[in-house]
Amino acid sequence: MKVNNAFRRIVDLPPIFIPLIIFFVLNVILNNSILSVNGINNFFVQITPTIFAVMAQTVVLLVREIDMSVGSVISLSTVVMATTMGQFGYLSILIVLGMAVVIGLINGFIVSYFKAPGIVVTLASSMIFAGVALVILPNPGGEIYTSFNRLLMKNYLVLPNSMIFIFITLFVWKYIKKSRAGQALYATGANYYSAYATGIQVKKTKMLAFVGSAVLSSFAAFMLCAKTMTGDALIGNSYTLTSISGAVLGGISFFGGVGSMTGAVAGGVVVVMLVNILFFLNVSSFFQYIVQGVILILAVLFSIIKSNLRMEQK
Amino acid sequence: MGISFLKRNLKVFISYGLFIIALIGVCIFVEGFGKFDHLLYILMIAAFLGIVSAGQTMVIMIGAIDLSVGSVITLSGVLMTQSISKWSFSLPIAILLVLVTGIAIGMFNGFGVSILKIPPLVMTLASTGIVQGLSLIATNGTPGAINIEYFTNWATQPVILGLNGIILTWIVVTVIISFILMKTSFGRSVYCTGLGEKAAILAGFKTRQVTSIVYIISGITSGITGVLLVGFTGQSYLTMGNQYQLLSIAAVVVGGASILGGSGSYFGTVAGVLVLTLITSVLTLFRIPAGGQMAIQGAIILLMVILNSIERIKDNRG
Repeated sequence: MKVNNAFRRIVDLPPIFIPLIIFFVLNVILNNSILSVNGINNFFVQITPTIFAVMAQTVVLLVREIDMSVGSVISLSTVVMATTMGQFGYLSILIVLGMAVVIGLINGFIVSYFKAPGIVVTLASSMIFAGVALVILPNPGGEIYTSFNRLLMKNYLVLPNSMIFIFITLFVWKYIKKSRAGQALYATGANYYSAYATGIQVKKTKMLAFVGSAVLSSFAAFMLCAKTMTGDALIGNSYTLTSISGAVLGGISFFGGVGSMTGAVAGGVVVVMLVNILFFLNVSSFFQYIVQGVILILAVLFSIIKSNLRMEQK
Repeated sequence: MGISFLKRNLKVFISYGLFIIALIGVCIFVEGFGKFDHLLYILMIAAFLGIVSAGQTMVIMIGAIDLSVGSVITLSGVLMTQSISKWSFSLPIAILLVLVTGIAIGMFNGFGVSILKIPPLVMTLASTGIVQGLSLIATNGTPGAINIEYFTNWATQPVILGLNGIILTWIVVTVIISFILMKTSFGRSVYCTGLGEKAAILAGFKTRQVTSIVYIISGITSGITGVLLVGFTGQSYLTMGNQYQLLSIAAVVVGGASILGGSGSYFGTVAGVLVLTLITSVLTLFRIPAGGQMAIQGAIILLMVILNSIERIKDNRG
């Protein structure tokens, strides 16, 4: 019975873990310094921003919306962080988190209470956030404490601190998912009207999803701030596309309500590792744009085929 | 007929009214604004946005979206300068190459959206990445410039009736797109597809075909914009199309089209284009930095989307 259960659990893992393992092995073969303590630390420092961006996108995809402002929220957060840290010290973390909550509330409020399509709302608001970031810091700059850099970049307990940061977030998510709000999130995404009929506050849930997305985006910004020691109004640009491809690769359905956070994280790791592998194979960085686009199309196709199969089974 | 026509297009007329009031206001309060030459210059700047938005209008009318227009403009510009300066093509063949590329990208988008059923947003976002990569490969990272005097003169100097080639092209595009939308059965099928794909299929419209053709038109209009931008500046750069990605959507939404499809007209989009161009040029005049301009444009789109949504909610209740 126990063996059977264990087998079940392995089978139930999202299929993304197969390419994850293959890519990791390939990565190790091409660059075996990754297996040292420093190598693992560097690897995690590299993937953490993407992982948080993917998590941010996942929360919104689960309620059957999409957040095109992930990248610009990341940019704006790094800018605000770098410009306030000199004056307020570590209080700037709270400032950025507060700002993220407000951003999420604005996005979420417009999408859920005005019933406006999330795509356009977040596209428009991303223009506002990116514009404000450029006004505050036209060129990369600002000040980040060295101690903040050490806090997120070093490995105090053998394991990289960035990895611990991810695991804490995943752990918290596990409880959120089991809570009322988490269940409401999945239910709202799976079927908006049924969720409404069962008494779930669908509008509030949608709004909370956008707040979660903005807060997780600001986590990605913390990592980028610590890594680059500056605020940069353009640094987040590429993360919108990566966050969508990572989440969809990791098994999050475009049609809401399906997918696990660990799968999405694995999807994000696969995207970063693919870029790594291309780098080690000396593929021109120009091709990386093309590869990212192709991955996104393939990932979505795969998820559509899967959801069609699920429909047929029913 | 007259009153119902007015009522139906109320929002469009409001847009034009706002544009004219704003224009008069700016002309009075800002010195040098409003001379004939300057108005022509603004019209020329508006033409670039106007032509891209023609394709975007049709895409949004069928309830889809095209995020790849900006990257297609960049690739078109890059192909123009590369093919003439590096591969020594003649001008007509370079333009042909650009248009064929635009058609190919449009077919690719249309195939993904209509046959593979990939959500339009994701499909065109993915092709944006691919097209950006192609621009980088074509230029090796450093785009060039061309110096063809007669082409630049045609684009920027008066050709007929004091209008230059760029404005004339916009007029031609306007006539063709308006004719297609208002007078052909294809135009009808665009509206019907946007109102409800299943109903349109049942009514006998070939919605897949409509979707593909609409994306191809969008690829062509983006290609034309790229060609004209090269005619205007004589060079290409890797960010030349970026601003048009969102501005084209903004113009359509400001012009009164619903982002959910089935409504809108190119006439309305032109109003949106004029309003947005006027706002941008006033902001530039007041030396508002690029970031501030972007933020204000974003706020305008957001406001229009909210207004449209409120109206829809009201309609549903009534």
